[in-house]
Amino acid sequence: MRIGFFIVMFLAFGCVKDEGNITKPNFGSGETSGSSGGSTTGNASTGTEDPLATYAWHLENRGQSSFSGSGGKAGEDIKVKTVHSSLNIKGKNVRIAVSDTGVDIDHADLSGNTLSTEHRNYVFTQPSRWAGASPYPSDGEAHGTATSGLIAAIGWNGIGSRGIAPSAKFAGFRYIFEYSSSETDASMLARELDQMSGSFDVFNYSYGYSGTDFINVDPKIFTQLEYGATTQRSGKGSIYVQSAGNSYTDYYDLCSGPAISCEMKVSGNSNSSEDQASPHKILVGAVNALGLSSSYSTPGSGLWVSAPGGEFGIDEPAMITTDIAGCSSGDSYRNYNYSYFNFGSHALNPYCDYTSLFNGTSSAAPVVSGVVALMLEANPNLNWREIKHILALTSDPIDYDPLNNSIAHPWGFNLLNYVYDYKWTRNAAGFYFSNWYGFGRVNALRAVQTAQAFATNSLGTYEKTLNTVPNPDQWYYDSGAINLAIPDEDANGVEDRIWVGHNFLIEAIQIQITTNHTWPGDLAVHLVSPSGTESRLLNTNSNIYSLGLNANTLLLSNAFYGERSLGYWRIKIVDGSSAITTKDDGTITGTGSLLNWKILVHGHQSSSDLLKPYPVTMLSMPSGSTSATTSPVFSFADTISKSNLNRYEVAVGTTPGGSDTKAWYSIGTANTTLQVTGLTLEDAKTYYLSVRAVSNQGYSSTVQVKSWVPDY
Amino acid sequence: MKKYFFLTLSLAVIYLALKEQGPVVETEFPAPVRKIASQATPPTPKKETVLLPAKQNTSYKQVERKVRERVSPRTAEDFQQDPSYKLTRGHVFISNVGAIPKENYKSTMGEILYQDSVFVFVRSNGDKALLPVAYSPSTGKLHPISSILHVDNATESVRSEVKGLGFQEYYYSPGAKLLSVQSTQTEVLEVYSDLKDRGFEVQLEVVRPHQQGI
Repeated sequence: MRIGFFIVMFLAFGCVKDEGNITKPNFGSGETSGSSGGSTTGNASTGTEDPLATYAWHLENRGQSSFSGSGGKAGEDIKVKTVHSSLNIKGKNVRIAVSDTGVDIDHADLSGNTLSTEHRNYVFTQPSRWAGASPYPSDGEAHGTATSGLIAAIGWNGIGSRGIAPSAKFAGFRYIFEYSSSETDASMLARELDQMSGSFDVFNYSYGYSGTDFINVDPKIFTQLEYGATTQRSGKGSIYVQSAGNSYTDYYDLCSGPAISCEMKVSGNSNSSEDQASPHKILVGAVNALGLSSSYSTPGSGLWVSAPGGEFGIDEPAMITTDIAGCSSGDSYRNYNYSYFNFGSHALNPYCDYTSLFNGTSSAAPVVSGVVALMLEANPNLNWREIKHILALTSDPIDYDPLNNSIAHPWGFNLLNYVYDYKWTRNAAGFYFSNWYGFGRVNALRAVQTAQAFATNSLGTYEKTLNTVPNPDQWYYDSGAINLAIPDEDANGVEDRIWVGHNFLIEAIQIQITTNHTWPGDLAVHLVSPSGTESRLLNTNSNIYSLGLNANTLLLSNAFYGERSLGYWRIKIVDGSSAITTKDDGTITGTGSLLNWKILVHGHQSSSDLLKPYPVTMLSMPSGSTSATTSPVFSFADTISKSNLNRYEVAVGTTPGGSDTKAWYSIGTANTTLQVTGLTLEDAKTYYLSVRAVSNQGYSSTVQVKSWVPDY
Repeated sequence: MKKYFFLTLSLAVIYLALKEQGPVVETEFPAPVRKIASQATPPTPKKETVLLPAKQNTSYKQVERKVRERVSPRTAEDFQQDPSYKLTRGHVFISNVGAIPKENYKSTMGEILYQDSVFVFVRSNGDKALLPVAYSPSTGKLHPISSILHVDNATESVRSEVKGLGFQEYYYSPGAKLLSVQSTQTEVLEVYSDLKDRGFEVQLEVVRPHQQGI
């Protein structure tokens, strides 16, 4: 095993496959810098070169400054140039919805790629007016024009830059607009559901809620996402791409009076907003031109990948993209003080139709949407899970340094004898994962090449560990009522564990957590898989505002992708601050307990497991039986399908699944309540009752386990 | 150069070998082939620094200081919560507070308990101009209740039944199985009770700010 491990490590570090050739890592910097752009790039088609494309580091990073004060690092890009030029793949026949602030659909670099009859405008109150309305934005709403340009600005037309998918078609949705006195009554839920629906291959969401709050959303959002991801695109599912947020270091003021200052420094997390905790979305972080996480990019275990978003375009490069045309509107006008490129007097931007200042994870998501469009041209039959899988397989784990892998709190709020987080982890299935990068920075070339060769429908049937009876949507794996005090300012925290009896190959893990903690912004949530991989779903001392993770707050982790789900899952809650701190109007008391948590596994069965019956569900022990010493009573719910079920079997042991106390024996299929008799048990020792299903062919399901401690 | 490469490689392998203590499991996904970027990349200074973030001194997109609009805990203690109304997740119905758009507020309506950019919130005093209100215990914010309410698990047959009863459809989402019904802000609670009494899974929605471009 150890030899195998070293071979794997050598493959990982010493000899890697890069764009079809076996190469060694490049340890030289290879950096060039200086000019904004410089050389021209060769034409990728019969058209005319786009003059700004050579300045856009995210298309090809040659160390150019992109009209900022410093250059990037050559080679730190997404390798899209070869996809355009050599593979001639540009997103043809792919349809994208850009749900944003609306789009300048008359922009010369965009209009030819718009789906002119499919725009929407949600400013209107009445749903009958949404579809087909012009999405033209107000003067200050340049955001959607910029994101649209990053995805699908026309290529090789002799003007501006070009999109990642310059042949894709898109519709603009004016969905984000100011909350103002003109709107005192509306349904945001109806709007949100509507802008997730339609015959689009990709939906780009460069939006989010404030990164300083915990945000609950209506569960119907998740229903619609699942519907869209499983029924749209003729059942292959639409691809929902969303920005992770720009709140890595953020702050707000809890006090309203200018004389008082109680500034709250926040470290944002993608899991603070439940709408970002869905496995049906691809959540995207931002990286800069140096190949590092952008200074603002919100981390989180819900990230899937990262992509160029740049810095701020003044000292370091941001993104070059389309702006609302003309010098009297849009970002190029509003921000003219900050960059000479945006004045209107620069030779390459005389009419202020472009900006070099756009940034944020708002930029990173469109880059990924563009890459997905390239993948879908390469292989239109890929479904939503296969797109995610290929991105996880092919993205580059940048900024990886195993000797310097720990990260300190961005504001310095560190806890003694405690590592705030690790930049990268390698899970038991071999995937590298980072809360800052997801599975890494997207690599368009490898993603497209893998997509071209990928055998569709090879991932198995998507399943979740939900109850079958009596409540089909209820999460099965539930701690029940617990009350575990979370120690203040203590790196050891408090731990609990849940047994998961389904043996899926994991595609995502969601948990719901309920505490009565009065300042959850103190808390870190660690989750450890049966394979030993640890993921931090929240970090200590985030100060994300909330009066409680108090009602089944939903959190997502992708760190366990590809691992097996069977076994004990451990949660650890760490409170990073003392009980009383000066946070809220002077002081706040931050204490509380973990009251409940649940876990939901998303994944599929491996082909070798498909012959095995499902495990039973809802195995429980009446509270009055916890002191039972000879004849404890248990009950459970049937397996999902009984058609090939031969019997249930029961055993009792001193380890999960063990039978050293009472060997496996059949209880038939008629009864789902059982009393185990004839036991001789020791006081205060933990025992495990295990139940499994056995098929007619003799295959056994994984076991469900319930433990108890006899109390004489 | 080669010597340093193998030294670095060895250290990396030893480090990870010591770190990797978890059980090895079978990998059944297509094995990830990884390109690991330079191991010699210097640590990212921003993550080790406790000084001001970069965006405070370089960006036109500086973070605007957000003044936390929340109800004081003492005020919230007097809220009369009515759990009989099902609401947008994370919110509870408050029966003794009402909302009104700022431009319509008059001092005779009472002391302002809380306000956001659009609404002010005051004690209910029987004034029919006041809109019903919900409170979010997790964010400390108050929100008016929308005149548009929702029927959950609305199959096509439920949709037809509700419309057949004379309720006005606002929006229907077949994917989410959600039927939205148009009401008015003064009558929404009556419509809610009516639908609930008829056995529908009805839910109120709060009016709250939109998502933002990020």
